[in-house]
Amino acid sequence: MSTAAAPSTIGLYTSGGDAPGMNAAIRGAVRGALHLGLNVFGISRGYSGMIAAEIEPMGPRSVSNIIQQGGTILKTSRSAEFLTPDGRRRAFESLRAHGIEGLICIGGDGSFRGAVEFYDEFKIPTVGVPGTIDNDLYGTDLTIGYDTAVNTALDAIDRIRDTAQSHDRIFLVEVMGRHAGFIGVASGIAGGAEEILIPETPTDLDAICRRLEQRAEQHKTSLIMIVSEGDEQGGAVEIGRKLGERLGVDFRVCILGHTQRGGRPTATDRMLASRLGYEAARAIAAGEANVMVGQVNGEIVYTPLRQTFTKKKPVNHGLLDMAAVLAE
Amino acid sequence: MAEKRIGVLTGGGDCPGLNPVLVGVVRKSLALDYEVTGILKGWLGMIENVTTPLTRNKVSGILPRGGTILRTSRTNPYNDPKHVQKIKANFRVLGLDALIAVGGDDTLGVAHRLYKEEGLATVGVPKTIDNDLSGTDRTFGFDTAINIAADAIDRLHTTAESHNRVLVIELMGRHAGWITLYAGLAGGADVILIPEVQMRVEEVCRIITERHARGRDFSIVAVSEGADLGEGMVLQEKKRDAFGHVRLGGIGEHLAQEIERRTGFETRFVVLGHLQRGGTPSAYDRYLGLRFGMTAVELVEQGNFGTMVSLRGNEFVPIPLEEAVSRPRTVDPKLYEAMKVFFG
Repeated sequence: MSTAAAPSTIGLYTSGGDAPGMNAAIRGAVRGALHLGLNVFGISRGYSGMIAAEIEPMGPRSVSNIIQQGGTILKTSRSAEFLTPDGRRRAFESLRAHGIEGLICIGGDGSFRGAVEFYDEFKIPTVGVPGTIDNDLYGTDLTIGYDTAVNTALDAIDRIRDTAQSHDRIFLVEVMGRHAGFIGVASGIAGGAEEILIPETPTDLDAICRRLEQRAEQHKTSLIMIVSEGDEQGGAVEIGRKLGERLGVDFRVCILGHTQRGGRPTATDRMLASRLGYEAARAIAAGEANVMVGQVNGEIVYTPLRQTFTKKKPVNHGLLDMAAVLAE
Repeated sequence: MAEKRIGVLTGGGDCPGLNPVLVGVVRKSLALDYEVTGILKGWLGMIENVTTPLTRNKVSGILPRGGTILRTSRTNPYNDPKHVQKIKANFRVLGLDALIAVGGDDTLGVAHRLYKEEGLATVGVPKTIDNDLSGTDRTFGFDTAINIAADAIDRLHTTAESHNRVLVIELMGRHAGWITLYAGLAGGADVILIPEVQMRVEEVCRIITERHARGRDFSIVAVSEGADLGEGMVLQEKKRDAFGHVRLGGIGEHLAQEIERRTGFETRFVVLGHLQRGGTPSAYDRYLGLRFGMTAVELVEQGNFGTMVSLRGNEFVPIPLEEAVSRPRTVDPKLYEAMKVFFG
């Protein structure tokens, strides 16, 4: 995985959906790289800014007072242009004009896909830092932003529980996570939800109806169901409609939406982001290419970038079994 | 034998501060040697005689809890004359000397009619997170709601800024824009839309476009569920509850689509919904709840029935229930106009 010549000038960018803790990762990477004697450039708006040459030098003071801020000071985007050969060639020319020989990418699987393709064509090495609230990246136990998103969702679930109980209502709470149910599982277990619907397991609406009827017989009339946005039966609105048709009961729907992306990162996310940013700088300075730095069982692990999107990180089905027991 | 027996019920939508009201009612009652009967699920509990004794222990530790330990419902007894008769009968069966009804204008409207038409000794405690009752300067629940909403706007700021997006946040408020105005100002929203003052989508887009032309490449729009865009109500579902209210919703999505279509700026929306109603009450709402609850018992002590507790300045005073429910208190358009200096 190592290349012969380690880069002396690097570019840093955030890409894809924003996640709380990205700024702490930027700070870790910039200060880590400067300490190792590298020149550091910040690239704005991910691949869009790479193509448009929105590139500025970064010093230790460029990242002052950002560890506690949500979002990303480098901004982010999803670039359609970078998917084209012409877009990537222009991106390469921007980098060459600034003498950038290596990249640190803070983002998710889509961003890493782009980085691998870019390396195949132009031999610019990238070290990836897992930054996504969805926690759906193979090669790390946790991604940056996940813990904050779960805690934001949990705070909302706690509030909804008060109302559900006072009104004997059934709430369907939709959480983010794209095609993965990690946010759903964690916020559902921590919030004491009665049902957790995620894309990784088949959602059996008939079985859910039977359990709801059993609970009604036990006079348990207020409950909370967590729906991951990527569930194969649809989002909370659609599942609420389907269940409502079967049971003739009114379901309340609450879609947490973009509030989960925002806000100040938790201590866990700041720790993780600081460490992974710093380790990414060490990796690129050591000549690593096309790996993601992750944390597995507390240790720093390098995973080939390609594996982060070709291999699927499994959800822990034992946790789902436990959640079903604890909801009885 | 206790001096008096007081019934208390909570009706209508959930509202942070209901449990502190119950603490206020019970602790003041104990001091006067009164007993308190908790009526479960609002007026439904009076119709069906479902109650629980509210002792000192029952209300111990409930101050920080959201919701209401008595549960609530939207049952309107005046939809069926038999229900009113049942309430009268149960008032006697339960041996009540007075009934304290905690609720919004619907619940208090029932309390008013029961006093006026049936001669029942009722006292009202106003409850609405919307802060839209004419008879009182403040209601509990509002402070918690605007804090939750402002917190959500803060979160949206970081993501809107990172993505150069417009984010529309739909907040509660059918006919009154208090929550949206206060939370919008506190959260630094760039446009605030309320039911009391019409603002058309063109104007919203103009403010956003001007802002972006100044180099700010993201915007936050706070909109009341009942905001007036000059296109008639934007309805998601035309269901009505037992009091005939249309359930509003869908304006946030509609507005987001229109902004994106007209300005070309990437736009997303969030509907905050029930989050504003739940959760632990703020310190101020706990204080208000305690004071409203204990004042209601003082009105019972004075035999001052058919009244509602009202906050006037710093004084908790009785006003006739009739006055309380007659007209809503809405945002003064002059106040809204003055706050436009913060737009854009």
